[in-house]
Amino acid sequence: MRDYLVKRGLSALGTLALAVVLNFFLFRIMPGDPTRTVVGDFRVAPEVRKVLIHQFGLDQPIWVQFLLYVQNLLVGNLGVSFQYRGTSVAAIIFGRRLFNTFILMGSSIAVALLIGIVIGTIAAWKRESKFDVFTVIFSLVTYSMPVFWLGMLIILVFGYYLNSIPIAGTITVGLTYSNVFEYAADYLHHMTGPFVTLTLSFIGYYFLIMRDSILDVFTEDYMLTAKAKGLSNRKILFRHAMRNATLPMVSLIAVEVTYLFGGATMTETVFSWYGIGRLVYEAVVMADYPVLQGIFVVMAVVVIAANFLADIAYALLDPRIRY
Amino acid sequence: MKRKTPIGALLFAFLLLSTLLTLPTAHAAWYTPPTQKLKFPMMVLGWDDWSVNSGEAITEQLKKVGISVEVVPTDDSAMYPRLYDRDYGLEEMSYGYSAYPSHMFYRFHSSTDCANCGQDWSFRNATVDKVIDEMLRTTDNQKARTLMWKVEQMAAENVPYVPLFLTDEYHAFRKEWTGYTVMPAGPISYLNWLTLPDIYSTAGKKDFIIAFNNEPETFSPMAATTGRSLLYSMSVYDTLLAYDEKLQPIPWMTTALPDFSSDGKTMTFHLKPNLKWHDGKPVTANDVIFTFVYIVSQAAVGQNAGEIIKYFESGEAPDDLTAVIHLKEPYVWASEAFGTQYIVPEHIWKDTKLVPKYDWDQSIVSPKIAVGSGPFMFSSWVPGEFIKLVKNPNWWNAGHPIIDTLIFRKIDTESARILAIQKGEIDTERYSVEPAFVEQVKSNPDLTLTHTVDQWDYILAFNNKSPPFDDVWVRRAIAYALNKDEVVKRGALGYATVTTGYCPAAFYPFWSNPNVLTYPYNPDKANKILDEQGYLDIDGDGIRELKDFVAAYQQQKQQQEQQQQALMNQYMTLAAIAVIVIVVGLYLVYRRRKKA
Repeated sequence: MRDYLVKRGLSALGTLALAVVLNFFLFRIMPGDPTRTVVGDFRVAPEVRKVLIHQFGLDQPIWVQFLLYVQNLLVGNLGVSFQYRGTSVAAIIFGRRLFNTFILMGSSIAVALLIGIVIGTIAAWKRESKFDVFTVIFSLVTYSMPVFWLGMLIILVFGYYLNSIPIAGTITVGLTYSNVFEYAADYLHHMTGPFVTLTLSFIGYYFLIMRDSILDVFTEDYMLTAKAKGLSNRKILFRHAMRNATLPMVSLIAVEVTYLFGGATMTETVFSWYGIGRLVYEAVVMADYPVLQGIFVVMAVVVIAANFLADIAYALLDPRIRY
Repeated sequence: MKRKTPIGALLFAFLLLSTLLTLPTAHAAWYTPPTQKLKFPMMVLGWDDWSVNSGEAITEQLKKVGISVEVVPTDDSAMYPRLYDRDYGLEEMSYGYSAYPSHMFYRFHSSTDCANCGQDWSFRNATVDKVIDEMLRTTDNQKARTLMWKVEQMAAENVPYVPLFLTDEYHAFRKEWTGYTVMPAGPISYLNWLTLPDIYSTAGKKDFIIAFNNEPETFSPMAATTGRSLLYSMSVYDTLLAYDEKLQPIPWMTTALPDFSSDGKTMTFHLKPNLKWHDGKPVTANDVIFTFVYIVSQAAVGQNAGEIIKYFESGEAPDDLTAVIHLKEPYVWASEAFGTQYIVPEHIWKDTKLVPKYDWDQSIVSPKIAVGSGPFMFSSWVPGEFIKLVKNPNWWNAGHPIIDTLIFRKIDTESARILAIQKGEIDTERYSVEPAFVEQVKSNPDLTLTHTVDQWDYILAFNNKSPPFDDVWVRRAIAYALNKDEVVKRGALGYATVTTGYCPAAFYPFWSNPNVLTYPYNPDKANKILDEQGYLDIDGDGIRELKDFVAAYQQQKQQQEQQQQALMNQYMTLAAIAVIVIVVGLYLVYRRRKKA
């Protein structure tokens, strides 16, 4: 077990190193002038542009820039944003945006996962019944709907016509809160729209995978044994089938962790939810390289760490895996 | 199962990466000038529907005069470098207008023919340069206008680009709001100082909420270059002068327009008495001088910073209410450039611990730093959500602003903003209503819609150095070939004003030349010009060939004809000789017969 951990750990570190190198050079190879965002106005004097270029270290040879970059990275300095005029990238990423995206995505994925798994299991058991047909069609429909369209519909119907959810933002403008619970209530009220949109769009995916996984498990010998032993349907379904079918989901969740960070750009845009997904979009449009690089590095670390943990979890959960 | 170590894979990946690094950084040119036909790509910004759709209308119109154009939607990151490198033939884009027509210098002077210096079309004309230089040094507006008219006329004769249209500005307000000023660029813009202090609600509402699509990228007036940050700067900070509805300067923090010395190099501003900063300290002429010195010494990048750096030499404050500024040379728009610069408090900004050097680092705002003397005071900021400003009770215009609170809210999409205005969650948005929403807003009884001309000037630009666009007749022919009303219908859904000159009266009523040469839609004339100049369609495919190609072709044909002619002559002479020989021979034979 220890050997396995060490091997996986080293490979994870190696992948991380490669990701950092690629991350740095990829942005430098792209065409276009990165200073345009900062000094794009032609009325800026050329001397000023030179000063800025020096400040951002863009006049150094590329190897020196890379070394400086790695040095800063190890200290946690992700650089300074081009777009938001000097605000540190770490402050931009690890501020309200991350909190908002985390809460939204975390809760949507968790609820979608829970509902998807449970309903998927039941649908697999009751396969080809009306319940099964209905849930499969529902999943396919919600899964294939464009997320932003669904979001806009929800805003129109519930926000505008029924006036039950706000149209934009994470909190009500100018409201003062007497305690944390009031703030949480306001926040959650604003989160209803994007939460419902995202959950609906994720449910179908988890449901269908779970259902397939369970149908696969039904073909295993131990299911027959369980039935022969005389266990109740509920015990067979939830204690044996679901547990074994959930195993592939562990790897899936490791991939979903990227979404926790990448955010749902379209949903965040439609609901004006101040999150990381929207940040990525803005940074791309405004050619804000430091922010993009910062996000990439953070996501690389998170994904690699999540996969590493998933590997361990898998090894612990599945007694068949021996190293 | 043995697990392969990933070291081999990593090594391979590094090898791959190193090959990437050996790629040449210089890229091949995107555009090569045509050698045979009048056929070119037209570069437009891919996200800009106005450009893309009007580009398609232009394509159809030019086809009718035998010019083949293909619209190429391009991303910002590719388009701007190509423009700066002049790696294009035709492009269509919008360029913005400021309150005074400094674009006539930036777009037509030879000194701005460089990468990202102001003009993208390599227009150089020594005569035009001379007139522009003279105009810039003239401080008498009437005299300057005469020179401006000359520049407009010369620009029209040379057609370095074809002006297309100015987009319309539609602004949606909830019906209860009144008191705003409608002027070019709209009731809510950074050229409009008059709206926010005067606006009020007939229903008694005391907060005014404006929706932005994004936050200001900076809270520093020394670094503000986008509409959002400029609107913030204009609310919190004050300026010496402002503009009236005709975009003419009026006194704001001052008692009158500035006095000028006879050589135009000294400008004196007289401040109103009892001006106060938001923290209670008095505003003095020292703050004014400090602001300009700061801009120059810190090489600021704010809106007028370039001109201030170019012209400011020194300044002094003989007393608290008088600011004297010495210019390096006289400048026709000195009042506007210096007068619309946001004044910052010396007692805060000289402390480099509070305000770090190169102030574009300042995006963190706190009540201590965000001190201005403008109509509103900074109150609070929740990142990504809203900025709250409250009215300044000590502002020099007593009784104004009428509203108590001004809120800038972040709402990402236009559809959400329109819904929010209709629902009453916000009162207006910072931008013009997008064309697709105009009818919906017009028909809504809860909203009023204002209509004026906006500052986005769409043009069709030629690379004046690249054949055949270096031929002024080609440019003129294209100007005649364009049906701009149709372009507006397609490009802006009809929501735009056609521009026929280089300093349109719709935006610059004072400076615009009423008698300037224009190119009204006349495809017959366009065809005639191209025919006369030698751009003919030789192979009958509907696309004209280049003048030189046609000339070479015709020359070749001429040579061929000559050769044929020469050959014919040879044959003719041979035939003539043959005929003579036969006739003489026959005669001799006849003679012999006769003898016998």
